[in-house]
Amino acid sequence: MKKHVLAMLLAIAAIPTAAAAGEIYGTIKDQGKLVKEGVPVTMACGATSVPGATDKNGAYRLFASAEGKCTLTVKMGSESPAAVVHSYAESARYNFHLEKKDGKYTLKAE
Amino acid sequence: MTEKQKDGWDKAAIVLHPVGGLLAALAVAGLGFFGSQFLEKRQSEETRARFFSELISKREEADSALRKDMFMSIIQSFLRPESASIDDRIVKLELLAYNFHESLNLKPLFVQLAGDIAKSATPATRGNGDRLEKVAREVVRKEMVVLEGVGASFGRTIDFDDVAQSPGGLALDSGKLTLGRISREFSIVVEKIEVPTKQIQIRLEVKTPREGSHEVDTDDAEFWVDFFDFPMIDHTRLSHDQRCAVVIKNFGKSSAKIGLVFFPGSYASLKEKPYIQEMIRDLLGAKQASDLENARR
Repeated sequence: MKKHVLAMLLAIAAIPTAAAAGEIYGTIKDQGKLVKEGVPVTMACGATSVPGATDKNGAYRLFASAEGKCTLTVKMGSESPAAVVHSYAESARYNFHLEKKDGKYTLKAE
Repeated sequence: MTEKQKDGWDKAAIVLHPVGGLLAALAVAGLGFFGSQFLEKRQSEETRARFFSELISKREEADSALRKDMFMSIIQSFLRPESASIDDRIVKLELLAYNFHESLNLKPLFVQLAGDIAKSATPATRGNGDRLEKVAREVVRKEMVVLEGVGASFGRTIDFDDVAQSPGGLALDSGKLTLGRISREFSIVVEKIEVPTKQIQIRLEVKTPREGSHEVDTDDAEFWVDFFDFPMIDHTRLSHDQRCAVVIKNFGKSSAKIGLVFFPGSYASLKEKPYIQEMIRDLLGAKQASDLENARR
C-alpha cells in the first residue's frame, strides 16, 4: 500500500514537470482570420509526434518532450503546410498565418 | 373729430400689451432660473474635477515619497555590496525590478549581480542565476504585453548552426510593421551568439519610406541583447516619436527566439522626455509637419 501511495505521489509530482517542458502555443490565422475550432495541428519532434487541434479562438497548445527542433503541421483540407518550431525549457509562442499562393498553402510565423 | 374705428389688430394690441409684459417677466425669470442651474451644475462639475485632481495628485505625492524611500534604502545595498549577501541582493533587485522597471535601467545591476553569482557559484547557489534570469524574463514579459497591445511586433527564431555557417552574419526574414500611419521595414542580422552568457549581437536596420516619395530613410543600430534588456527602457529611438526594441524570448542550447516590438514613444520609460522638436511637430499637425520636413530636404 505504502509503495502504491509513493508511486502515485511521484507520478503526480512528475506531471507538471513533463507538461512544462517544451510547450509550444499560439494562434493560426487563415487570410487574416483565426482558423475554426478543430483544425488538426501536429508537432513532430524526432521520432515522436504530438497531435492536437485548434480551439474556438484559433489557438493551439502542444508539448514537446524535449528541447530542440520540431516540425509543426497544420491540416487544411487535403493540404498539410508545415513550419519549423523550436521547443525550449520554457514555453514558446508561435503565431502562424496561412498564405495561399498558386492554390497551395504555406505556413508562416508572424 | 370722429374716433377712428378700432380694428382687430388694435384690439389684439390692447389685450397683448399686459400679456407681453408678463411674458417678458416670465422669460427673464426663466433665463435667470436656467442660467443659475447651468452655472450651479458647471460649478459642481468643476468642484468634482478639482477634488479628483487633488486626490490623484496627493496619492501620486504619497506614492512618490514611498517609492523614493524604498528606492534609496534598496540602492544603498548595491552601493555597498560587501554588506549584503547574494540572496539579499537578489531580493532587493527583485523589489527594484518589479517596482521601478518602467523608470530605471536596471541592466547594470543585473549584470553585476549575475557576475557575482557566477564568481561565487557553489552547488548551493547555482539556482540564483536562474532566479535572476526568471525575474528579468518576468519583467520583459510584462512590458511586452503592454507594448504589443499598443504597438506591433513579430518574432524570429535563430538557429545557432545557421549563424555559425554564416560568417557575415545571419539575415533573418524582415518584417513590415505599421504604427499609426507609418509603415517601416525591420531587418535583423544576427552577427554573433554567446551561448554561455546568453547574449546575441544584432544589427538592426529600419527602413522608412518617405511620404510622397519613392525614397527610403534607413536607420541602423548594432547592439548586444540579453535577458536583462527591458524594452521600455532599452530600445532604439525612431523618428515621429516611435521606438523599437528587440528582446530575447527563449534561449536554448541550439536556438533562440527573439521578438521585435514597434511602439509609440509615449509608452517608453518614464525617464524619457520627448524631443521638443517632435512635440512642436505633433502640435502643428502631421500634414503641416510633413510639408515642413519636405521643404527642409
